[in-house]
Amino acid sequence: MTSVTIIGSSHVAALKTAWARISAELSDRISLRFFAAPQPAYGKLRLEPCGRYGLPADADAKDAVTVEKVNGATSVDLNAAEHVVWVSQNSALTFCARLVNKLDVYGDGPAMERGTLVSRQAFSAFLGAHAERALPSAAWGQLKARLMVTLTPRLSETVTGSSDPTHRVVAQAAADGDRLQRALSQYEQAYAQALARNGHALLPQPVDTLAANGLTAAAHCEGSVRLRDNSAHPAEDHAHMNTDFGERMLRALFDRLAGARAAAEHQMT
Amino acid sequence: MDQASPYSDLPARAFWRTGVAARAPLDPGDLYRPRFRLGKGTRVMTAGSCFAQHVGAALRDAGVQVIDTETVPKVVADAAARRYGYRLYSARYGNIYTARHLLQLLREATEDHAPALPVWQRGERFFDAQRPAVEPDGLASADEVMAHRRAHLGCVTRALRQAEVFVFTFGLTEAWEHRESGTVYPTAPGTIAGAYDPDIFGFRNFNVGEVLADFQAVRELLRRINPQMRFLLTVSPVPLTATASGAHVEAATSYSKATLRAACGVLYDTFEDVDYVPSYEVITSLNSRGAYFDANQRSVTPQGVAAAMGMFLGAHGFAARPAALSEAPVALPEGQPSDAICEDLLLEAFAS
Repeated sequence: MTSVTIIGSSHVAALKTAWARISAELSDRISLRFFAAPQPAYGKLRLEPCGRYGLPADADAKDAVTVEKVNGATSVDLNAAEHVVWVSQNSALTFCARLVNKLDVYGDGPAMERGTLVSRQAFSAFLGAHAERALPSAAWGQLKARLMVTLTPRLSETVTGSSDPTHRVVAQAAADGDRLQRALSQYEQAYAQALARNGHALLPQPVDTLAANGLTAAAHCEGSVRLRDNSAHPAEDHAHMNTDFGERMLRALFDRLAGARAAAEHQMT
Repeated sequence: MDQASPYSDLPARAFWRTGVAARAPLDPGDLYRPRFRLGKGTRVMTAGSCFAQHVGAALRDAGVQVIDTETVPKVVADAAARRYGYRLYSARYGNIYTARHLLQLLREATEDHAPALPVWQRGERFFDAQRPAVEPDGLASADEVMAHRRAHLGCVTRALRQAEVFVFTFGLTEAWEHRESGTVYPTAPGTIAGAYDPDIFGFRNFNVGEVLADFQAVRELLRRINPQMRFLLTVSPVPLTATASGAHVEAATSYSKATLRAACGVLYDTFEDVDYVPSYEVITSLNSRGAYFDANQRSVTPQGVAAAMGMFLGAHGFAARPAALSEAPVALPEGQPSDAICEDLLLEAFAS
């Protein structure tokens, strides 16, 4: 039996509903617990040195009610499981989109006069520096449980038709062939390496959930629900993914854990 | 004394006792009175030795329009951008230590003057000989170097067209040149890349007449682009890391700084559009009692930078934000000021 605690923000809802769907077939092998909170409560969750993760004692009463309602508790002992999966680290989507929109990378097709011509090395260094800044704090390295991080799901490709000006940067980059996809993929590699140097691992978004432009395929955004009460997100929500997406994430996670276990057993023999 | 002396009506700042000795330690006093004022709307182009990075940063922090035509998005971490030569100057030309190198760059950007041996190699990697530090690991081919250089020169030209004030920090008189063409380089061949061949490269130590002539040519060239262009000059207070002149490095530093300071004085006296900012004097003043130099007696401390830039900004009516000057940690060799990229420090490696 492998024990896992999944923590994170509202994006955990997709995994939670997916687990409700598939737990019957896996519960003899996987013990799964969720501890999540929607914003703004999520931003107030803290990791204590003892391994407890949750709201601090002096938390706002409203946040405490939210966290209690979603989880049945206001904190969780992360060391109680073998693995902790942290959903909702920044996907760097906007960061990569800004780079794609403003930079021409030498050798990356003809210069389109987007802005400055940069070398592959410089571009890679920019991604690497961003990845370093996105690492979990040193306190997460003290956990006994093994930490695996997943990035926030990339926005749905439906965002390209959005009139919301906050999505303009991503929509522009997504319209530029596969450059955004390649930048995001390169970022994920840099982030995975940075995490590994700190003893953590990255669980990437499954490739089969992605559209050609690097965003999440539209089908995975339809019918997403809120973490708080399972109510449906509005149609103009391009950020939250549905149960099918959550299931793909969970199966990718379980495959990864099974692979790691098999490798460990092989080493012992 | 009944007879009037030309010194009798001079202000306190004209006398050493009242102007320096009686001044509180580390107080730059009113060393600087601008010849012309910078406004927040003034478009400023910066270049020079690594100390010039502080001038640009201080002006930017004060809200002045410091031109940057070779930009990377703001979301890029400062340390990563600076490591690749971005956000240091108005375009990505790296440090320009000599007036000759500045003149050469401007001619290349505006007159199609091509420097000799533009690409240097280190192992399998290729470097822009005119700014070898901006790609720390070099590039994959000479073609790539030249493609980046063409793009860079376009950015230099755009910066020149926008500039109203040109800020230049004189850093060195010593340089290495291509004997046949006279092309100079910001680093000695064999330091970052390239290989030193004494038949091809020669050492130059420019004298005050040569520095003057070079900067006068720079001024003429820039005023052809913008007849209203004005100039703000400084001399880097950072001593030489090493000299190839044969003199002791301390004597060579003295010669170099004296030459540059004298050239600035002549330029100031000759041209109404030239102002001199005495940051060199603030850092090296006896009044500072050496407090503005690090333990290596070469690197300028953040406090020294803050004092010099505070004086400069205050004289122009801007509020100084010295804290900002100590930001942007960059992984640099020991002894390098925390916020300036200076490739001449690499010469330390050759010290026995």
